[in-house]
Amino acid sequence: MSKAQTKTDTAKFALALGDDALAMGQRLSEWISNGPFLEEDIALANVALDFVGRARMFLTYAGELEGEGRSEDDLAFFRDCREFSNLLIFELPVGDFANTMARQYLIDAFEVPYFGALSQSKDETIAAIAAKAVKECRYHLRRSRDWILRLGDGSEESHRRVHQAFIDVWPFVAELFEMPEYEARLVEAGIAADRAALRAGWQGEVEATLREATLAVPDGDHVIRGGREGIHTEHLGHMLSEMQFMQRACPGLEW
Amino acid sequence: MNQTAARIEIAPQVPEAAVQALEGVVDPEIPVLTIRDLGILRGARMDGETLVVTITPTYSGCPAMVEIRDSIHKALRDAGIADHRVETTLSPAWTTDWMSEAGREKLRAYGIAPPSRRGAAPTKLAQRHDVPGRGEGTRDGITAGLLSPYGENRPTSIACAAPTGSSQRHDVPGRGEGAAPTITSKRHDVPGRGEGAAPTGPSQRYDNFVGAAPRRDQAVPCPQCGSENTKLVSQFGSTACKALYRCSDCQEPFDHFKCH
Repeated sequence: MSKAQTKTDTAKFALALGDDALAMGQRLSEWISNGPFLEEDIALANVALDFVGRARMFLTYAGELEGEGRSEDDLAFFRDCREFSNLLIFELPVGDFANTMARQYLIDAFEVPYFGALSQSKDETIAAIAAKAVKECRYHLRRSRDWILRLGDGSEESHRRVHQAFIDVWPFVAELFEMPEYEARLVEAGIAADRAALRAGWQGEVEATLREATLAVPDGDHVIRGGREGIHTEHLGHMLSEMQFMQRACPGLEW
Repeated sequence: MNQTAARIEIAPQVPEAAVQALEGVVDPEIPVLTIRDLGILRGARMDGETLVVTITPTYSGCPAMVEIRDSIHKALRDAGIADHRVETTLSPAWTTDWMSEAGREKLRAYGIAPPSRRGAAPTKLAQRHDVPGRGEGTRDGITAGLLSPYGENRPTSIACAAPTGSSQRHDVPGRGEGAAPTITSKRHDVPGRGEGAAPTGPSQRYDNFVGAAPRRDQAVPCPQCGSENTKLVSQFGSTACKALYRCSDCQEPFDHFKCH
């Protein structure tokens, strides 16, 4: 594989990881001032900040690799839906608290081993961002797992809601373990980490946690995919309209 | 053993005035600590006539970085060093191990419990990796070389982790005494659910997964009265780097600078 090809692939990869983190950070930040109690409000905001920080690093790097002078802000605020390449699971609306935590837990359980693997990437920048991210992901997972136990094994109402939340999000988890061609090439090159190889360990972790939380593991083969190709749910447009409004109205505005 | 001093690289050509100016820059959120105490300052060197200062963020999204950068510019300008630039480095990733002893003491005096220091890995705990049924599925394929799936940093982070709700649930007799929003108490307070259903295995399995199993001998002592009888109230406090605790003896709430 040529150097130029690797660079193009790496730019796409960094952009995709940046978009994942950006969508998640934006969604989580919707909870600010709406959390169920003060400590949880602060926790959600802190987790959102970790994702936004990660997004900034990946998008900045994607812009550098692309070499067209686009900054993190250009990439975040001046692209439309079809140009976003985040996985669909990250753009889903926050829903109620059970929806938020079910998605969070499934993603955290993926990201801990994923960023652990990616921290060994041959691309130094990606490895460095991943090494920072994995430390934060461990903290996220501790908290989201506790919430799944608490909600699942809590009241009838919380059990019912979180049970439904896992059913709702389940069709979107398969995408976490799939890779477009450019990413598969990067796996070969030792730059990306093999997502498919993480599936079994992830499944084991999730099944054990849900069992402990007295929740059934959703089954069903229904899979919804398309994020990496820019085919999104209707929710992303609404999210972007809120996230991008200020920069679209007043381009280049700074606080 | 002060690892901080060892890790900050100040080139000999850097003028003394610059070093002094940099040492005076404080963290905007914890103003008793300098960026050197925190390990945010990574180094300084000369690039021709230009002074280059290197810093590293604590957390990925740490909003204080902008202000820290501004403070460095101001401190250097005030010291008459106009020709300088500030660079950010991500690697190696920041760790609370870089916090100086002096910094830890200043934190404690300020009312924030400092991060515990990571010790050598206790062998017994390090073997947790071998708990049956964990992680085996991820060791094959191309990632095998890349991946230390559930093991990365485990020995050190075990020694360091804050107690989590899930461990208390299994470890502490008479658990869930009804303290308000701690992580686990609620589920046991809810009538008609969960009692008798708590299995013993999964929590350990999970801690293994996270690579940060809590240790009961790693209590976070209260910075006010020194008691080790303290409780985690929330894993996130007033900033990303802090968790919220309460002392069960003097009843004071306090921040704990998380081990990271």
